[in-house]
Amino acid sequence: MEIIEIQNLTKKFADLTAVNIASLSIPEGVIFGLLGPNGSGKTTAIRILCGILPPTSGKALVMGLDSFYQAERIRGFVGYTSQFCSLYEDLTVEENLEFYAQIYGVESKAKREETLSRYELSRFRNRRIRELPPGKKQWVALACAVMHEPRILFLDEPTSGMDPASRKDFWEELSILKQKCTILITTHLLDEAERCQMIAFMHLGRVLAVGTPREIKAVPQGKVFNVILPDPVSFLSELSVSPFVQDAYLFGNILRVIVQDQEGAAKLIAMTRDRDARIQETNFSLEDCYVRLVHLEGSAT
Amino acid sequence: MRKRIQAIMKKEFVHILRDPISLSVIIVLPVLLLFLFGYAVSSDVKHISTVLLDLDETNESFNLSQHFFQSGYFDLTYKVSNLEELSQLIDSGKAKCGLVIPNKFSYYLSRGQKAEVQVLIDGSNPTMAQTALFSAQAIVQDFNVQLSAQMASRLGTEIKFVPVNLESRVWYNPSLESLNFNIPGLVGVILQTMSINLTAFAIVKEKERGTIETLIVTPLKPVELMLGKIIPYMAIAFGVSTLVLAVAVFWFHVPFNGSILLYFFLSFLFLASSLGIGLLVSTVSGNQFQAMQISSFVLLPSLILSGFIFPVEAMPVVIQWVAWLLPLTHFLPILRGLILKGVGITYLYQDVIWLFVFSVFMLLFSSLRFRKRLT
Repeated sequence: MEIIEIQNLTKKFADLTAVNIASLSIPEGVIFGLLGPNGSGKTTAIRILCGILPPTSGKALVMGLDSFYQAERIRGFVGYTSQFCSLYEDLTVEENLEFYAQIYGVESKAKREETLSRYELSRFRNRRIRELPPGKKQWVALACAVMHEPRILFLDEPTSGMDPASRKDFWEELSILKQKCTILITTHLLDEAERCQMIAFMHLGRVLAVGTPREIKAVPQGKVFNVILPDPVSFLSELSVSPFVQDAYLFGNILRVIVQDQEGAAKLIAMTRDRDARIQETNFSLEDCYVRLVHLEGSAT
Repeated sequence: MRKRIQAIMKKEFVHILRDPISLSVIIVLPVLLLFLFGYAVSSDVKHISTVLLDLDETNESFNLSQHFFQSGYFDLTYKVSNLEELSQLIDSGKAKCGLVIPNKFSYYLSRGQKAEVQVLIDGSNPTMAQTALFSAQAIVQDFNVQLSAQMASRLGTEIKFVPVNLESRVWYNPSLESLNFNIPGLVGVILQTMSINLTAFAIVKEKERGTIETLIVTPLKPVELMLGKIIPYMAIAFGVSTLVLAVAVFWFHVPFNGSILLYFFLSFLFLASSLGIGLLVSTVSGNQFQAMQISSFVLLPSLILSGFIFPVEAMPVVIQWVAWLLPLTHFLPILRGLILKGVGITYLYQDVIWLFVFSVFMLLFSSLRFRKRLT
């Protein structure tokens, strides 16, 4: 049995089905990324796994126990940071740490000191949380969630509000933490997904694909092109009515176009001829895969 | 378990100390209220501006009006010579009261017949009017007693036609000081308002900030969170109510006649009922604004129906039932009984039993709800 198992899990809020996952297993000792845009059900899924919400139907097993109905037996073994960085704003960094240490029954003061210095929070120890930049708050939240050395760490959008350098450090820290625990992390940043051992794409509450980033990128068929040209928006609208184009979307000011085969590629190149465009074939990125999967999901239903 | 409760309690105290506005509201507002009640909102009516129409202008009539204006209740503001002027002054509100002494006042008195005086009172303020009426009656009676004594000694016989001095005495608050009556009530109101609002807010704040989610994922049990939240605010409400009582006793000289130990014990019981309500409010509201609105469902009726301001006995029966459901309605007689009358538990046991039942029921019900909401 894997450390997290989901079977036919659904969660409904009135008419809205926020989560509908047929099956998902997360093995021990990995960083597992739940990916998807806002509203795709990532946070709801993580809240069910943490035992905050009961599922509408189906089961979520954490360490072999029901995540909601047997939550009390799981609680000492998990750590959680919520999307909104739920620390006490009027308490200092050290007071927050001390509070969670006491709640988790971490007696040793040395452990607290070690955590403070490991996350470079020592010089902020007497600052109140509300005076910290948003990126730093997430470090404090992480510190509060790992002092008791959990077996599973649930991190909901932990890197939002962090600058790129800080994000890089954060992910390095996660790969150290991974040696001792399983990490389930949600993000909507696909470059972060590349750093996970396993990822699951979520869309409208469903899991579209699960696997290592490499496995997922190997799934779609076709060819991907980067197109750079002066007026990408009008060209995009032309492409969207061209039958040989499977998907086309703007990534920054670069158009990414997915075509089915060599024939499609030739047609695309012909279309760009008079437009002062540079065109180049590339590999599938996770972004491409996500767009492709959402598209296929949409045409299937 | 104890460690976790202590952690919550410590955190709550830090929250309060870090929030100077709330802190000052918690401490200053009750004392301010007390001073308002003590100095400004006295329902004792004195110095009623009065217009005098003395048509008799004799020694006796002068004597009577002196009785009025030296009592402290009536001030001689105007003196007129006919009824029209008098009624104009009262109509315009310049005078609240008119004293009319008819022209044959001393004539009747000297002949041993019944003399009449008339007091006209502006009834638009019933409290004032009532006080004026009672004061006037008392003054006239007092005058009668003196007069009959004088006449008796002058005539050498017993005077039979002077009515018996109907002295009405007010028990427990002989000076009729509204402060003595209001302050015990105020202590109850403060205890209730603070404990309901503070507990409800303290829990709802965690929901509002989302920190409750993180707490749910920790090994913290609902009962630990509940106790950790309740105990600090209970201590604060207790401390502040004691402060208010101390100011009342030492500054305003409200007599404390009962047992202080019994007072603390029964306040504790009352607090338990309020904390139960606060807890219940916290389970049904999602943010502090909602909590405030919902708690006023209890607090406002408590202010009006509990007997804090208006006597419960004077309310319609249906309203009395509602009033009887409110814990404050039962705590006020306890407080007043203890503080003013100095009575013991034998006189108060009915209200005490009711409070006890209510507290147990409320605490059980709301902690079960609280538990269910959290897990």
